[in-house]
Amino acid sequence: MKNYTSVVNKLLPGRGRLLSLPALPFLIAVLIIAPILVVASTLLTPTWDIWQHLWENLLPEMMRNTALLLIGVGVGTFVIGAGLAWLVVAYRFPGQSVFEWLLILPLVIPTYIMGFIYMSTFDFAGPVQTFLRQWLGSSDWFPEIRSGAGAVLVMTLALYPYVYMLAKAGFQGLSSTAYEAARVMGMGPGKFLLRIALPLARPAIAGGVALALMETLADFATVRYFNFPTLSEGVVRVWNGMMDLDAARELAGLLAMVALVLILFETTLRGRSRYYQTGGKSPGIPRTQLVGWRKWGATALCTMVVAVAFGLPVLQLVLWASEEITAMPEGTIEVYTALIMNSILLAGLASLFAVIAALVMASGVRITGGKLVKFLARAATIGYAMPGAVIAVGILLTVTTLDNSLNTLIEQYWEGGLGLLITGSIIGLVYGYVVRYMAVAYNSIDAGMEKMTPNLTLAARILRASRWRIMWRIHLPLVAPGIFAGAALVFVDVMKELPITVMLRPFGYDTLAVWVWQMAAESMWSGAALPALTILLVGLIPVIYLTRISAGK
Amino acid sequence: MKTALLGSKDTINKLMALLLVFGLIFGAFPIIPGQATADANENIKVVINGKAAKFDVAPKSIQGTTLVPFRGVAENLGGKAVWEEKSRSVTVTKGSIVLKLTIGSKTAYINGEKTSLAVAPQLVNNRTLVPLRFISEGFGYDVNWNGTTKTVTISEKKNTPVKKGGIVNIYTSRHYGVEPVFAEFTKETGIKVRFTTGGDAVLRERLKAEGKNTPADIYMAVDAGNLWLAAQDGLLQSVNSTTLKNNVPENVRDDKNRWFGFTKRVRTIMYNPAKVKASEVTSYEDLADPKWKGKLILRPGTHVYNQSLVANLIATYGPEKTEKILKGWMANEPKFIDSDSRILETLAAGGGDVAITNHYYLGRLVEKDSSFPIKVQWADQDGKGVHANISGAGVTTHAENKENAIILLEWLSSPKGQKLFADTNHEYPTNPNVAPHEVIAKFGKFKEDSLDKGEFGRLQAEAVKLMEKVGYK
Repeated sequence: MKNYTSVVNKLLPGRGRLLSLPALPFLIAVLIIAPILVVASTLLTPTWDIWQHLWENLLPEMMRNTALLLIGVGVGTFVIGAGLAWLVVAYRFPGQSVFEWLLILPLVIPTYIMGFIYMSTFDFAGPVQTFLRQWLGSSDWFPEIRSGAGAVLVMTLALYPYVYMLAKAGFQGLSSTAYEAARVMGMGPGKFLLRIALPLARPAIAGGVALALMETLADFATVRYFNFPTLSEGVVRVWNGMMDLDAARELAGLLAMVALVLILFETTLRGRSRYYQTGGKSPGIPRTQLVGWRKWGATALCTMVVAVAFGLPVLQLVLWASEEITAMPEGTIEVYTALIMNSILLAGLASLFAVIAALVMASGVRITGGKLVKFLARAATIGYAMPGAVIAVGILLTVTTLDNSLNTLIEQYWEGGLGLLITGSIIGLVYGYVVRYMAVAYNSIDAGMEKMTPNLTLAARILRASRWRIMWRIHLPLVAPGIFAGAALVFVDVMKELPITVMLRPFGYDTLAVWVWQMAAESMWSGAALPALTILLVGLIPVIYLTRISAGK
Repeated sequence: MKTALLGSKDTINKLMALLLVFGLIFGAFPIIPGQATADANENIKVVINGKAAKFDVAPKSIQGTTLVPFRGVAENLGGKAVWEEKSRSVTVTKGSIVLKLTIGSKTAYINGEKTSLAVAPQLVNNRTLVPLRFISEGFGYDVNWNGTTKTVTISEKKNTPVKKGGIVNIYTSRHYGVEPVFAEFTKETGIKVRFTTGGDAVLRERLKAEGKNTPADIYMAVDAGNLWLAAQDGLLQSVNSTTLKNNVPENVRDDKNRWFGFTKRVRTIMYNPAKVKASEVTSYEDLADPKWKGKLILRPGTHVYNQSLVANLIATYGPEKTEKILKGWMANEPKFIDSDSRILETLAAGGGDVAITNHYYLGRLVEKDSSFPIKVQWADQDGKGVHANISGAGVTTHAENKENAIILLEWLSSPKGQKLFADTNHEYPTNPNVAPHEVIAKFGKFKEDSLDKGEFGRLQAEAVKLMEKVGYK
């Protein structure tokens, strides 16, 4: 299908042409990419002896581990996420309607919490192996949880909901006519899945897998529990351990390159074809009733996944928290209320601004269709693949330069200056969150807009609607579900976020995640359990909302 | 009558007036302290901490300096005195403070630092008399002379918490149990404490980026390396405080007084007594013995505690021997667990026989459950001593509330602050006059490597490179 956008661009001079380099999306993209560029810029002037040292000692293992982890988690989340999504959409079996939303729940559990729970449950001194030793004498045969395999397992369990949700949305969007046509032609459900459903849901699934992979790439805390150094873990470790910001920046630059590759890979995953669906909402494909062993097998499979990915962590947290509740010092309730309020406020602000930024960018891409805008929009999602610690440093450097020069300026007129305005304030913090999480909102909104044919936008432009009008009256209503889904996802992510919060937060301004981290860092698991549970509970609200809108469509 | 007194009476009057004046002038001299004749011995009284002090030879005042028998003053102030016949010198010790004086010499030494006295110690009636003010102030006491009552009043220096308002802002990476400590400080001094936690390196980055606009007054960190690096980066300023100098021994503070250690954490050998005899693991090197293959548990080398340990080993044994030790550890295929308390729990469950962890994790576990089976072995007691790291703090270069910051640091070094600060985490106080928590006191006494803690920072990069070389990840 030919791209008529460029034609329309040429046909509409004046206002159209002036805005052919869209100002606002460009500005937003620059603001978001800037901190990462600041950190990665060292790649342009590499320090060779640092690189030599890194190459000899750390790099080969880090690259290998990162590759293994990405492949493992990619395959794992695809199989579990897309597989379960198909199961829940195409079939009927006992408990299917409940599992439909239960399977999303692991989304609220931060990966690092999942990590240390698995660690303490399945390692030598944990309850499982202790129990086995009591009954069987020895537990030496039990697989070592502190390994690459353990890391892949835990991260897959923590991240499959991204793929699950997006794949489910993709499958549910399939029109029943396609299904009926396939059945008429003699295709069984299995073949239908492979040859029609999967290809059609490909952009959605690709988006989900991309999110999971980027989260994996950015993770540095969880992998550390498993003695599995990856590139991100290396960046943070080199910085803290060798106390060498320069070496860390070199690695961060490398990481940024890998992230870019990942983003390009995602575009390939999505494929070149554009899948448009015309007409209103279709009822979706009809469900096949499962019988016999298949029926119970499906239920068992879903139960197992929910138990392992959600039930086990929550149970362990509750057990730990109950130990701690008896030993709570006075004033804890107030402290907790403050923590909860802080977490919610930050998450709310971040999701608001992330969604606005994503909407403007996605809209800009559709309206102008220029290659530059498209590239910028994609590049702006790179924040998701970078470890929060790297982004935090980038923001710190960008923002404090701004603050300090502002102060120098003000001090000329006003003795004492104003102190730091942005650094160590909520503005800097929310800025950091948007840089990191815009990708989530963008992918969600973009997936929604993908379904919309370009003809709508073109028609509006020919009718001389302004860009704002187009965004407001046409794009917005059509992608409303995508917007809310994006907002909910960002909200949950920011609730769980750690390194940016730790680094940039204002004085005495703590969040639940910070408390979890403080306790976990000192192996005070029971102290970490209560704030962790609170994160889960608060995060459940947007997630349940997400499950409702995904079930309703 | 006037005219009659003139002439000879006038002269006599003048003479009498002159005599009166001279008499007054000369007579007044003995009242001005210290400037009288050499033996104004009259009954000088000495009051120490409210009680009158008795000396077997009366205190003498020579050239304005009160001298007292050295044994008497030492004992009265709670110290010990030693007389050395050959050098005719007196060494008086209290806690970590050592004062050395020599008869007839105006040169004296405070902890090895040379200083000079106004009046030299002397022998009187076969008793050695030493300057009272020098000894008392050297030990950190306040000395006041009352000329009218001829009393020297010596009192324990009230640690400066004078009730004062204001705030002090702290960037700290030590976040366990600090709230009750700061709350107590605020109660005593009226100074509010606000603090932000974060990783050590993260906080340093923030301080660097914020520059002179930083809100932080104090940077508090665990691990001497972090403090050393902060000083290197110019983030901390020198603090001139006698209280801190007296309470914090030299080897646990910066040589330029930019940071001070407040608690000690010892990284040493932990073992399961059911499987291991204490004599088998007396040194860090012992763990390199092949008999521990598969039985050793270590924290990953990426943790700063281990990096400081290796830095200590490099400083004490040299890089070659340290490399040998580390290679030996690695050859034993240790299990790596990134949590000291998990390591201890794994030892208790039988997942290993020996390990190296920080002492306070064991303290915590033993306090929760007194039957916890793992025991501590202080390493290298026959050698240079066991590795001890510190947590400490310093005043930031651009601190806005500098005075309050110094008050807080001084309070943390005082017996009360030390007890609270160290006990909340079962660490050892750095103030030698403060006793440790009873749980860790039961671990017994140990000899600590006297290396200057700043060396951990200086040698850290080298330690990390060495660890990477031997594959200690």
